[in-house]
Amino acid sequence: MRKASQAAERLYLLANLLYEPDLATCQAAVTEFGLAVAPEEILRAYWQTFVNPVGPRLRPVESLFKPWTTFADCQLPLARQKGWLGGDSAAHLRSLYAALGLEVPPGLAHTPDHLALELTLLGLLLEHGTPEMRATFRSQHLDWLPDLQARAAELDVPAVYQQVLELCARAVAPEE
Amino acid sequence: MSSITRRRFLKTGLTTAALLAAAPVLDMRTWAASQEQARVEVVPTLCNGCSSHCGMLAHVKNGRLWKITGHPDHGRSQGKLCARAHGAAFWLYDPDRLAGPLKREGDHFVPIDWEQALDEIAAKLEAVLAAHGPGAVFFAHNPRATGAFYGTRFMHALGAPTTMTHNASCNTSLILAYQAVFGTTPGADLANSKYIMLIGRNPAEGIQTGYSAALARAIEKGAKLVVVDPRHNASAAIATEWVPIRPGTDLALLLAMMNVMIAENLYDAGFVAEHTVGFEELAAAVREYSPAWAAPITDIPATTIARLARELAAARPNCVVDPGWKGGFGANYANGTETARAVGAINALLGNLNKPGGLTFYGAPKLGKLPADKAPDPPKPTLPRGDGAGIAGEFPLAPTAQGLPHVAARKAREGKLRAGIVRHHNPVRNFPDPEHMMAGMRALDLLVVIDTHMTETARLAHYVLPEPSFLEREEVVEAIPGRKGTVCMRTRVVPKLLENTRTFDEIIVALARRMGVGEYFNFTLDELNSARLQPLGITLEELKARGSIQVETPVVEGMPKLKTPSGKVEFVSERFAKAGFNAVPGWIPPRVMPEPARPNSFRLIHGKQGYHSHTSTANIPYLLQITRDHNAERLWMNAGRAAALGIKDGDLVWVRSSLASRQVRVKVTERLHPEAVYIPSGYGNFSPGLTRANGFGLSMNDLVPFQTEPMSGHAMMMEVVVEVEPAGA
Ligand code: SF4
Repeated sequence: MRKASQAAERLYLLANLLYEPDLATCQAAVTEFGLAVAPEEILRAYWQTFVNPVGPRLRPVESLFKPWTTFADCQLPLARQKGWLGGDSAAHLRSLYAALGLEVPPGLAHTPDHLALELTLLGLLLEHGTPEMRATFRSQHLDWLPDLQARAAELDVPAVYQQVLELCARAVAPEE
Repeated sequence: MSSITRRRFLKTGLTTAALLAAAPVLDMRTWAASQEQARVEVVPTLCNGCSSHCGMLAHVKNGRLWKITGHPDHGRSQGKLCARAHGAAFWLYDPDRLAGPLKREGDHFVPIDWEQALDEIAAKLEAVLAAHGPGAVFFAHNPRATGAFYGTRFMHALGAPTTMTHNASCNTSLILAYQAVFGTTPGADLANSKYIMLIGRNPAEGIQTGYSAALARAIEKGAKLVVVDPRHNASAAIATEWVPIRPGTDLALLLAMMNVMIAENLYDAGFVAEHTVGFEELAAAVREYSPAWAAPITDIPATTIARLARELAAARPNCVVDPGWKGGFGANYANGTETARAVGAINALLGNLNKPGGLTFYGAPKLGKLPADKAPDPPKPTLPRGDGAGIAGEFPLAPTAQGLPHVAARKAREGKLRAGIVRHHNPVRNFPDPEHMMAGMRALDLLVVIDTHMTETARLAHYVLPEPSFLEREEVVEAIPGRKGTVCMRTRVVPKLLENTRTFDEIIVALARRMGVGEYFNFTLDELNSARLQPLGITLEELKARGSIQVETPVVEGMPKLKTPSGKVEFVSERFAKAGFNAVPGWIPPRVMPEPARPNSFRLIHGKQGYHSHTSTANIPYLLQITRDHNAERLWMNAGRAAALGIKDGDLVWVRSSLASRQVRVKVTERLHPEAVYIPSGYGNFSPGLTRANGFGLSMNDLVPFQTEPMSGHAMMMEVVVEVEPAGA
């Protein structure tokens, strides 16, 4: 139990690094993960990686890395393409949060499948769910991290965030 | 593990019991099975793939867009949509969309909340008004009902006289010219025409679905289609005859055809006598413009010119010289306005006004207004405009409903304009000379851009305010002219995906309240729309449910009532004469010409492709892929000229003008006049916020200098000579 809640805490910390981190979060991450950068540097890297509104930025959102829908009756030209918001994964998680009574922060409302939310949900499943639930969730919603990491490398995002994504990938790996 | 309390993004009192209860939904397969069953709803709205705003039916399942089709009851779409509409649907789910308001800090943007952004904008606008007066403030937009109503009303409430549109890069010439000749801009009844002459217009690529369909119908019915264009465009591909004219000389062709019609008594003398003024002056003016005179100017044999004139006249009145749009003469040459006046005049000689297959003068359904006692209009500003349009000594004839954004940029550089609001409009990319346009925007004390994407203009703003996409917002009721008019509106077809966006009317009302002019906005959008519909006996609920409704408009059979000073067709314009221009159309040469002695000297012309709307759609991968698949961004060059320069198909070349040098690959073709090179107009985005279009292709605007046509003030976008030379591999 203690081990599960520790693992969940690590997931929450990683989630915090992926959406509007504050200095305390960055400091905690430096300590927890032994990151070799100053917390202030993480804040700067966060802005450059995820916020910069005029440049290409990394969007850690599942929909963008999967075909928009697998429903055969959708006739939009984007139906089978990757790269679009609001795909099946977003629609599914939106329904799931509603069913579980989970409230999403306003800034993430349009991306229910943002990695920060998915890590948080995995943490909740660690604390309250069953191994089967986690296995289902991992296989259906956390199988896109290698693509995200490849995109981060392609965009040449600051090293600290490439490292954070690697930590995320490890944290979501199947349980032994 | 640090004991620090971290934010939990999913606020919860989650328990294992709750999780177990929800376990089936946790599995995506179970969820998918439940979704499958849902009904597909059909929600009517308006397309935004271009400014035509065709009627669209959005098919929506589980709150997600599932498919789009054309609305059968909209006069433009008539049940059809073009490729761009299917591309525009991508905008809804586009990760490039602006997700929240932004404020400039130094050379970058930071997120800001709405209330603070609006407070700051209002305060800065107040400061500009206090220091420089309302003459220093402008609003610029792509003119459709919502912007025209809320934007103009807001400017009037502030006493600001300068509202501008994109038209000075599009069709200002026509608007001015047809105002002079007919008192309004006519349409054309292509479907019933026996003989159609398109001068520079290209409905097969400059698509308005209904108009393109009408051309196809005319051809099916056996109409003769003559395409006068330096380029063998997609309309020429279905034409009876392509007349490859020297670019910039359409006016000479028209003057010479009128010469023939008058000299050979082929014109409609009855119509001319009864419904026109100034015929004698026109006849005297065109006497010198014989086909033999026009032949060396236009590069069209005199016999062809005379034949075309005779053929047209033989088909009268069921024939038309298309009134055009941008192509040929809308905003392209020094003689653009004069050319459009000549198009007006030749149609009048053919006596085709309101005749089947001729020019049309349809009205639009007459919309109502808010009750004056409850929502009085602000007074019209009395100050002179800030962009020179309608101003003596500047551009006295320039249509003030459109204005001159490129001149406004100069005025901003001179410190005369100080603050602007720009909505759904990208003058920095879509007017010539980006350095000039950017310098103008940068010189402003306040630039607010309201858009869905980080355009080239938005990049320079002090505040960027995001609107929901067109599929997530409701707008002001529109009325479309036609034999049967259409009343229609944009409705919200899916819930807002990006919560932190606000519609234009919400933004304007919020600013107006902060600036003490809220009294002019004391109504809701629903109340406004209900008032607009009131005279038509249609309720807002009904229109929201149906989206587009056809209504009978009073159709004048026979001669339309014209709003010219004389009430007749005016071959001669006192207004033009007073402003120092020709009273009747006469020859005006293009401003620049390629140098015949230089083998690498060309005129750079441009035009639309059927799958892009200027530079607003290049960021849609579905449409951009069409370009990539066909190498369609290339510069067209005549095969003979290319051979002489040693340039082969696909070669990279330098294109240099007095303004800039750019590289592009060449398409070698027989389908272009030898003196021109042609570039499609939909590329050359340079905003990194448009992640897919950024850096793709070339825009003619990079090479065209800032300049103004003397009559209407338009941007003369084809008055540019370039030198082309191989750039190596
Ligand atoms: S012409 Fe095409 S893009 Fe333009 S409004 Fe109509 S369907 Fe949409």
